Amino acid sequence: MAVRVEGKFFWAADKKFCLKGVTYGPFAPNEEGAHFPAREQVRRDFAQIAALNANLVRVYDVAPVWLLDTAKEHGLKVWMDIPWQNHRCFLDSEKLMDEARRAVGEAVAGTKEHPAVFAYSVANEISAEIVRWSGTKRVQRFIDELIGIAKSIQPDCLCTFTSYPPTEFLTSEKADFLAFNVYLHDRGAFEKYLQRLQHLAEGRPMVLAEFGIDSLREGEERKCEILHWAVESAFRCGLAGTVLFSYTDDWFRGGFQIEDWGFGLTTRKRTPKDAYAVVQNRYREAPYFELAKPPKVSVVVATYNGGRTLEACLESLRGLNYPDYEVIVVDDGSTDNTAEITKRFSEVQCVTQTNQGLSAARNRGIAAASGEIVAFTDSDCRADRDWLYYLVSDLQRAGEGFAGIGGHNFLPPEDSAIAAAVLASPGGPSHVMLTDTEAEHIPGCNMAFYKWALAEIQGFDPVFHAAGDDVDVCWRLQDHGYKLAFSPAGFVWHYRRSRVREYLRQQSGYGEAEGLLTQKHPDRFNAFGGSVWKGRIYSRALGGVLLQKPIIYHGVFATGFFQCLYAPQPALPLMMCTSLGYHSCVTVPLLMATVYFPILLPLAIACIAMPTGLATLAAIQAKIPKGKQRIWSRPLIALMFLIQPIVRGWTRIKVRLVTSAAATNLPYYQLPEQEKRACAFWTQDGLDRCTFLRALVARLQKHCPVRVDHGWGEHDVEISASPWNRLRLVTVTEDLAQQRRMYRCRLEGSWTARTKALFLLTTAAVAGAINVLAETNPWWWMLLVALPFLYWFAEDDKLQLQQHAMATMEELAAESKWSRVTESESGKIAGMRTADQ
Amino acid sequence: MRFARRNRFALMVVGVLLIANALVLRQYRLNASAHRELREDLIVLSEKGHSKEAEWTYQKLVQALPGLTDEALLDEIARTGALVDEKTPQLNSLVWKYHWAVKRNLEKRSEQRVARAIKRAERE
Repeated sequence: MAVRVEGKFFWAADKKFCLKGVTYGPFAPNEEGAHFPAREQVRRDFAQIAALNANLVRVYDVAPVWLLDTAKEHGLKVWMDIPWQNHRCFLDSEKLMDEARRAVGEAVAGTKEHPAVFAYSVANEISAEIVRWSGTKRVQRFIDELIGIAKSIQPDCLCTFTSYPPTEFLTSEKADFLAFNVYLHDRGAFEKYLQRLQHLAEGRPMVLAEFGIDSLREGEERKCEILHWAVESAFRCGLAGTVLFSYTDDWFRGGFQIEDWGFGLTTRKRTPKDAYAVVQNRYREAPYFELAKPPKVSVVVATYNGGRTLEACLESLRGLNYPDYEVIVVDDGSTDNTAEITKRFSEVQCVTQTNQGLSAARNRGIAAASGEIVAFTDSDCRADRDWLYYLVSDLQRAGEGFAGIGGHNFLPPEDSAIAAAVLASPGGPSHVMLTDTEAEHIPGCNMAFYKWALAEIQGFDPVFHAAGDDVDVCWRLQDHGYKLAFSPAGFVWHYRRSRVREYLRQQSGYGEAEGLLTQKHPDRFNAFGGSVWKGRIYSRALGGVLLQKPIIYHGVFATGFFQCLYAPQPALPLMMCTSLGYHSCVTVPLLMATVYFPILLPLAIACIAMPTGLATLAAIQAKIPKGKQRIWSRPLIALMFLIQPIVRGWTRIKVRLVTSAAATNLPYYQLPEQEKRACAFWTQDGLDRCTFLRALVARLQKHCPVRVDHGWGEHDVEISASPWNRLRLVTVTEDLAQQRRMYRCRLEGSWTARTKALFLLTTAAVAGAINVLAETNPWWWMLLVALPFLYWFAEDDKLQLQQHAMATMEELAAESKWSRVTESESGKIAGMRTADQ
Repeated sequence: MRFARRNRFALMVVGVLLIANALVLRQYRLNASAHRELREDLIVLSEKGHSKEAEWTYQKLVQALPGLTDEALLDEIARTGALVDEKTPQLNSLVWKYHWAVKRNLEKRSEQRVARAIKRAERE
C-alpha cells in the first residue's frame, strides 16, 4: 500500500503511517555481491525487527526485490538510500553526476511500484565542505534534479535526501519530507533541535533518519536511558517518524568490518541487548505517548454564514484523537444553512446569537466552555486528527508562564489553484516566532488558551468584528507577562478565499482590524501604521521582497557542527512603495503634475514602475504549493501584491480617522503658559517615580493610547491622545535630604506623521496652485494664509493635549499627596538640598 | 512680549496675510511689466517681419486684455498709437490690429461705465 504525504504526516490509505524504524546495514557483501546478509539471515532479522514493533527498515543500498518481498512478508516498509559517490566533489565531474543520475534512475526503475518501498533517499550526508566547495544552490539544484529523475519514473514515489546538522542549511524544494540524522545525548538540546528542524520542514513531515547511542562508549545502561526519552521526545515533538541507528552491531563500512562501535540493538550475532527491550516498549506506545492528566478541551467554532465548509469542519472535529473534549459552535446570526448543518451533529453544542461579530461570538463560546483549555478554529478549517493531542501535549511541555499555543494552517490538498495563489499573496494568516518554541502571534484559526488566562484578560475585545481579535489577545497576554507556545504538529487545513473579490474583502477586514489595533496597541505599530513584530513572520508570501542572500554559518574552516542558515528579512521599507500612502503622496500628485509639467512624465512613470517591479519580484519569490501552480498564478499574485496594500491601507485609514481617540475624556484645567510643558512636584514620603508613572499610564490608558518606552528612547511614556499630536513625558527625580524628593516632569509635544504629511501636502498643493494660477489671477497668493491656519490648528491641538496630560498628572499627584511647586519654589527647594548637606 | 507669545498664532496669520497681500501686488506689477515686455516684442517682431512669432505674441496680448487695468490700457494705446495711423485701416499690421483691440476694449469698458452711471442716477 503506497504511502503518501498529507501535511506533517504520512498516510497509508485512511490511516496515519508513523515511521518506527531501524537502520539495516550496510553489511559485508554476501554471495551475490550485495551489501546484505544471506536471504535466510535477512528473514530472521526482519522477524526480529517486526517483533521490535518497528514498521520500517532503512537500508543504505538499493534493495534487491527478494529483500523487499521479505520485508513485505514481515509487514515492514523499506526506505532505500541510493548510494553514489557523494563524498567526492561530484559537481566538478560530469562523469560523477551522470553516475548519480544513472544510479537513481536504475534504483527506482528496479524497485518501481513494489508495495514494500516506502521512499528513496537520493543522497545521504553530503559533506558540508563539499557543499561549500560546489555552492549550496548548485548542490540543491542537483538534489532536486535527482528527485526529478526518480519522480519521472514513478511519479507517486516518496523522495528525500538525508541531511545532518553540518548541512542544516541545505534544503530541497522537491523533497517530499525532511530527513535528518541527529545524534544528541542531552534531552533539552535534542528537543530544541527537533523544534528547529520542524520549522525548517515547514509544512512537510519531518523524520529523524538516524539517531542512536554507542553501547561501548556510553554503556548499555546510559544507552537505554537515552533511547527511552529520545523516542518519546521525537514523537512528542510531532515528528512523522524515527529511525534508530541501528538494528545490529554488525556494520561494514569503507571496505572494512567496523569492530569498535556498538550502536546496535542486537549484537553481531543478533542477540538482543537491553536497549532492544526499551525500544520495543517505546515503539509499542509510539506515536501517542500518554498525556499527563489530559485536561478537558472546549473547541469553539465561531461562524457567520460559513455553511459552505462547516460540515467538513465539524466532521473533522468529530473524530479527534483526544480523550476529553467538547465542540461548541457559536452561530453569529448566520442567514445560510449553518443551523441546519449544526443540527446534524448531535454531539455539538450550538450557541446562537444575533450578529455581533467574531470576538463577541468567541466570548460566547468561552462562556459556554467547560474545558480547562479553550481551542479555537474557524468554520473554513478542517482539523487534523491529532490536532488537540499535539496542542495540549506541546502546551503542557512548554511549562509555566505559557498561556496559549497555536499551530500551522495549511492549504488543503483539494483546494483550488486560486486559493493557492491567495495563500502565496500578502496578508494571509501566519504565525510569528520569537524563538523556535515561543511565538509572538498565533493565527486565530488554530489557537488554544488556558481558560483562566482568557478570563484574566477578559476574553476577546468585542470591538473586533471580523479579524484582529487573535492579534489583540496574543499581545494582551504578552503584556500580562505570559508567553505563547507553538506546536508544529498541531495543525489545521485552512480553506483560503477562492475568489479574488473575497480575498480583497478579507484584506479590507484585516485593514479595519489594523486600524483598531493601532489605537489599542500604538507601541506595536510604526509611524506609517505598519505593525512592528519582534519575531519572524512565517508566511509563504514572505511579506515583501528578499534582496539579500541568506547567510550560512560554516564555522572556522567549515567545521561547524551546526551550520545554520540565517534567512534574510524581507525588505519591508521598500514595500512602502506599494502602499496607499505612497500612491496618494507620490504617484497621483506626480501624474497630476505631468499635466502642467510634461517634463515630469519619466519620473511619474518611474514611480509607477517601482511598485509594479516590486510586486512582480515578490510574486516571483512567493512560494506556491506544489502542484498548484498555473500559468496565471504568479501574475495574479503580483496583481494582489499591488492591490492588497491599497485596499488594506484604505480601510485602515478610514477606521483610524473615524475612531481616533478623543482626549476630551481626560481632565482639563486652564494652566499658565509655562506650566503646560513642565512642572515639578514635591514629596516627603517614599513614593517613587516608577510607581507614579505606572499609575499615570494606567489612568491615561482608560482614555487614550499610551505607549511605555521599551528602554531605547529618551522618554518614559508616549501619549497619543490625538490623531494630530503625540506627547512624550520625561521625568526625573531629585533626591533631597531626609527622604524628600522633587519630581520634575516635562511634556514634549510633536506632530504625528499624519500631521506632518498633511502639512507637507498642503504646502505642496498651495505652492503648486500659486505656481500655476497666480500669474493669471494674483489673488491666488492669498492661499498662503492656509498654512499658518493649519499650523495654528496643529499647535493648538498640541497645547490642549499638554493641558489635559498635565492636569491628569496633577490630579494623580494630589491623590498621592504630592505638592505642586512652581518654578521659583522648585529653585528654593533645590537650594534646601545644599543647606541640608 | 507676553502679548506676542500669547497671540503668536494670530500674529503669524496676520503676518502671512500681509505678506500674501504684498505678493499679490507684486504679482500685479510683474504681470503688467510682463505685458509691456510682450507688447514691445510684438512691435519688434512686426518690424522685423517675423510674422509667425508676431501672430503668437499678438494672440497672447489680446487674451490678456480683459485682465488689465484702465491705466494699463491707456498706456497701451499711447504706445501703439504713436506707431500706427489710427485713421487708416492697416489690416496687415498686427500692431494696428492690437491698437484697435485695445481701443475697442477700452470703449467697451466706457460703455459699461456709462450704463452703470445711468442706472445709479436713475436709482437715486
